[in-house]
Amino acid sequence: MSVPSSATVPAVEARTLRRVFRASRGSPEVVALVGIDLRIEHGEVFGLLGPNGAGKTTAIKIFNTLLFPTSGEARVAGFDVVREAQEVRRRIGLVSGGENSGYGILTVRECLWMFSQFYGIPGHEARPRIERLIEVVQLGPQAGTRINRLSTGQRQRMNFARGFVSDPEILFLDEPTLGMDVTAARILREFVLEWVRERAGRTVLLTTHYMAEADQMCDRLAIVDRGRVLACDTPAALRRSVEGGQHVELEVRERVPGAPPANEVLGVAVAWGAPHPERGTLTLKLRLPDGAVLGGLLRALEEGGWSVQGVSTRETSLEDAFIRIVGRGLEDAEAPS
Amino acid sequence: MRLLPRDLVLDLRAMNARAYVRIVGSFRQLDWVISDAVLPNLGMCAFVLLYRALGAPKSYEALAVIGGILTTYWINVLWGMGAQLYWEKQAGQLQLLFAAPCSRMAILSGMALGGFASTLLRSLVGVAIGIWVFHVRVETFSPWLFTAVFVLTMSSLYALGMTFASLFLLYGREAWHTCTALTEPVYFLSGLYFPIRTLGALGAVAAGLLPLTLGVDALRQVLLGPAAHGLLPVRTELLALLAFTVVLLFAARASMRWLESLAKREGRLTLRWQ
Amino acid sequence: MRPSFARFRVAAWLGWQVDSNWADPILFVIYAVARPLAVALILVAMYWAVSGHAVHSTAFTGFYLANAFHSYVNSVVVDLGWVVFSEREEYEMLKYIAASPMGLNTFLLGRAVIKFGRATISVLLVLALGWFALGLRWGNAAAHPAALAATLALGLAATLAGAMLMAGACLVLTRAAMIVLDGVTLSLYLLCGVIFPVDLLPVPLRVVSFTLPWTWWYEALRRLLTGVSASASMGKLSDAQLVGGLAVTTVVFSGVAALLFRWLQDRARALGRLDQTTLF
Repeated sequence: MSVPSSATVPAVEARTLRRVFRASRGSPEVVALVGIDLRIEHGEVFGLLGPNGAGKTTAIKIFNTLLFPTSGEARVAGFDVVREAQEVRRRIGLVSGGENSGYGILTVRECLWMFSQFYGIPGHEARPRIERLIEVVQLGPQAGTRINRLSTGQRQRMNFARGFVSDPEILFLDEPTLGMDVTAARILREFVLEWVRERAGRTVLLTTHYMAEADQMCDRLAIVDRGRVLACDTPAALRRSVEGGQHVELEVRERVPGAPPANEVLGVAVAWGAPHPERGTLTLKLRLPDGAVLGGLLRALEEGGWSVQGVSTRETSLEDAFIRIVGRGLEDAEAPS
Repeated sequence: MRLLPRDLVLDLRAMNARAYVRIVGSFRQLDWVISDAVLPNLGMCAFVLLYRALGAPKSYEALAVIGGILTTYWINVLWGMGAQLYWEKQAGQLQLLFAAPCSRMAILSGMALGGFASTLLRSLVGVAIGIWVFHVRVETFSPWLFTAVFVLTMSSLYALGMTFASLFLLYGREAWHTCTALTEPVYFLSGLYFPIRTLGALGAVAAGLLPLTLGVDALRQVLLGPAAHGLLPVRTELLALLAFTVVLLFAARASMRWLESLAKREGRLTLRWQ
Repeated sequence: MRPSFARFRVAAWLGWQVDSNWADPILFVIYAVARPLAVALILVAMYWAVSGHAVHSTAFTGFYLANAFHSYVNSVVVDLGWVVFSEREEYEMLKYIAASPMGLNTFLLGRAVIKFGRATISVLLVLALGWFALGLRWGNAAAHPAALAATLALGLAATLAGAMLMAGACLVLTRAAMIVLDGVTLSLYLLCGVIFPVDLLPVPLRVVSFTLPWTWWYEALRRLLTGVSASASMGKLSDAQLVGGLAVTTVVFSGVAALLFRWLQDRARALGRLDQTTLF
């Protein structure tokens, strides 16, 4: 049962939210969240985008009342996550991707029913909702199968359905499509968007490190890295924040041993892409204000002892914005020495 | 249901659901017949045979059988209640339970009810072994007194189990090892296989600390009369068990709240392999 | 250093890390000590309850000694099975160990070493409790040092064989391994005459009992340490026959265990059990 909150109260709010994990047994102290500020309105699909270790899951856990902040404040549906945790829990749902949890001896249907009871859903409401969710996640033939006989992907889909069984006001999806096959992931994304549009006030906070997922689903995004929110805006605005011009990717190989580094040869700002050790090449990512200079740059590389194996150009993407803001791609290496 | 407060309805539903898992699980995994019904009674058999080897009166064999039957409940309290949240955490299930709006006590109560119901069936195997294999006999007893002692023993034990559950929540593997270490020492201090009066002052102290000690002693006195070599009068032990139940339920609630808060502060609620 | 010894050492080191992974060392000591001591005290209390006086009976001393040495069965035979179970179900590392040059054999032997160490601590503590706190005496110990040494060595060899067999069984078993391990603990307690003469067992169980090396081990230890047997039937055998019986059962058992262990490993690979989690 969910009751939309007042329009003036955000769905999720964080003010200088900080979380430090204390050192134990010689391990250093870890600052997972430095002091983030966030405001997510009702009806939004809001994304937290960032690499592993950015603090996304830590933030989700705090919002879900599973973890206390070290300092700062977090509110969900207007309720403080520490002092009014019970009120928060009535209004939220949680799906963690890559999870294999579930009582093996229960069937899919029974497991979903059990969780509906933990949220106090009357049987006559729960049953049709469960059947619909089972169909959405395409587990109809497995509805009566015990969980310990499901494949990993089927379990993940069951856990996905479980997050919706209480029809929460605010749904936290922590990398929900992690490890899912392409088709299943697409179906689930479409379902999430449909679910949000179905009724006013439903809100989703999604953490992901899939750029395409964030771009497709989110009304607004916060780019998070090392416990900080580096930028927060719509995907389109984030793309526009990267100045115009042409995005170029060059795959280069050192032709003359001891040649000066390629970025020095080029004399323009370069981001490093993933190396290709199997081909012995490096990837350079450039943004050129004017595509006409590309020819000159290629000649400079050749003269500087580098041979260009491949050139590709494209429009500004969310990844470009991410790289510009964070300084590296999600899977990119640090600059080679 | 609509006449009841919303929170109570929620907690009752949660209790029902959690007990359902336990009871259904019992019948879907028939290996419980071996693990929970037969095996614990092997230990009981060993102690009964020791009494025979020592030339003890037959009543001592009955003492050991009664203790063996109650061992089944103790194991369920320790592992089915105490360690259950640890297993839930390892399976990634715990965070889902704690993100739900139902109360922790509702989850624990559901576990206790389900565990008790399934253990009741298992304990019948011990009764059967006692009667048909070892031919132990009991005195004529009052069913009301027996029921009162049994119910209060179980309620105090499971309340203790609920308190243990919160320890596991915080201490994880350390608590697991503590419970493993506690298994046989509790058998000793509870006088499961001998009259607790044998231990003298130590027995009296144990009786004051462990509801299982009082429960075993009281049940033996009801079933065996003077041959049970009881520690305290049955009615005294009944009152003590009632007090244990009340105190331990409050302790379970308070410790669960405090330990949950501590676990969330230290980030241990979702920490696995701790 | 030879690679095989280095891998063995790493496995032993891992065993120590896992077994001693408690924040509180006092808890570790309690865990390693409290359980065997508690069982010993249960025996003492049962004897007190019946006899009403201090435990100076030689028969009781024999039971006490066997109970002390049974720590090896609990801490090594059964616990090595738990090692396999937890490596597969909890840590999900078993597949990586099996696929590495170390292999399961070396890994399990290394882990077993630590288990032996822990069991030895328990045994010594229980013996110390019996000697100093309860006044038990096993004055016969000095009379047959060679036989005693051989008995101890054979018993420990049988324990190692049993441990590898349990580990092999757990490779193939799924979550049922938990039940089997509990069952082995209690079954051996019953069948090996730890705390009562095996003569009290029904005949079919007595036959099984005589095939187990630990039955002979405990009886030989009682005879060599106290000069008295617990079992009337085994009491008719001479010391040499008892130790001989232990040697024969140990060799046969170890041979069967080795063959079975190899077969169980292959079976686990055929069934795909090495990387299967079955607990939930």
